[in-house]
Amino acid sequence: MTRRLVATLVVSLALGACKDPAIPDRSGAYAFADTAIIGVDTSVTLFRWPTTRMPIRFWPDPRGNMRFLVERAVAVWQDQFLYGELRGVVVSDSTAADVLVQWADSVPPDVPPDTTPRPNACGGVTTFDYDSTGFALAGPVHVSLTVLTGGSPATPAQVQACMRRLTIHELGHSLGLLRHSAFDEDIMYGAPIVNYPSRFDRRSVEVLYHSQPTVQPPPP
Amino acid sequence: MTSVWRFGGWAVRGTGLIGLFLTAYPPNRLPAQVSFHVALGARYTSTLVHDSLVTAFDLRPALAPALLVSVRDELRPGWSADATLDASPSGLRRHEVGGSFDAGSFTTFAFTVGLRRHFTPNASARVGVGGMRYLASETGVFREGTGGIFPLGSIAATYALPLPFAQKHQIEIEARYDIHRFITPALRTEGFSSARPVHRVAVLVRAGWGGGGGSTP
Repeated sequence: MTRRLVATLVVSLALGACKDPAIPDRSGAYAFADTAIIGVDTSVTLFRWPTTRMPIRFWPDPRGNMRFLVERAVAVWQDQFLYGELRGVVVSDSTAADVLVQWADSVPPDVPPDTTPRPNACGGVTTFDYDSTGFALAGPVHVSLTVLTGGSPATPAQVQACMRRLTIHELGHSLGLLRHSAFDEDIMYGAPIVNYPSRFDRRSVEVLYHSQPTVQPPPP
Repeated sequence: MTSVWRFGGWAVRGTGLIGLFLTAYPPNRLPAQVSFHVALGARYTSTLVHDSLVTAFDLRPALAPALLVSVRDELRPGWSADATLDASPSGLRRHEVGGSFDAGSFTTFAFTVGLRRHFTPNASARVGVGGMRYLASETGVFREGTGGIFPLGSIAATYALPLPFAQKHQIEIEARYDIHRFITPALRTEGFSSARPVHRVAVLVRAGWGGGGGSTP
């Protein structure tokens, strides 16, 4: 009986060592690189922060709740990755930052957000400063957030909800998702209406951080 | 965080067999037959996840320390049973073209019950089954939890050093192999549909107390 028992256990171990799982299909990533046709050539601008530059240093404007917005957005993007490809940290020294996030003009009040969709409550822009070669950044990435005042004004709670979405969206650009998604279910849609990245945003940023960049980061 | 307890059929059957064996051969619970053991060593773990995003890469634990604590009871001459708690903290590395990069850390805890056969006064072998759990912060592959308890099977070969000092302190060298199948909720969400077999090999130095000292022939 004893030998049979041992043999059973050994066979069980051997059976447990069977085949590897299949790698899942990652289709669904949208175009994240900028392309430009110059004459007969197609120029591809693909930027991502290299592993050697992790953690990426984000400096939030000290006014209002920008620090909260940036910390939240960094955490959201970090959570999209399974294998530690992206790490970000919020820093207090703007001269030691890779990404600067600032209010363009007025500072919105820090109130509980009203997540009811309300278009045109806020806006943002992310700017990359390329060096003379066009293949490297000359300095930190600049992100600017603004409260939109045209038309019927949004409530402070609607502005706050919009800022939360928009901070994730603009930090997505700063990570290298240079283009907008064509689908409104994605946080990288031109005028984002969802609160978190979709599975297509996730797929896209995953693929981006395993792709070979054509643009180098700024000097540290 | 929700813990999910999953036991594969083979591990449940294996644990049941061990239980039946212990019932069939009830140990004479003399204090002199019970010994306590502490083992310390190093452990290699095979790839946890093999994936491909543009290029293929592996997620693999770094070489890690292993600490084992056991209670061993002589069943009859030449045989003993034990219960072992095994802890191993480890860094996690992503290995891809161009290098290997930090991908977090975790600690594993495993509990096994085992049956040991003493072939000679110095050499023995052990077969064991049990469960294993990963403890990690909720990031990366563990962002939706660690996957609960994984069934674990192990085998080990042990050699007791034939030196007076070593025999006095029951010092043994052990090579231990175990296997479990690894998957986490986040990997399932990502599209992995089945678990991956993970092999672990440890080399340990063990010291013991009680049980009359030395291995039983």
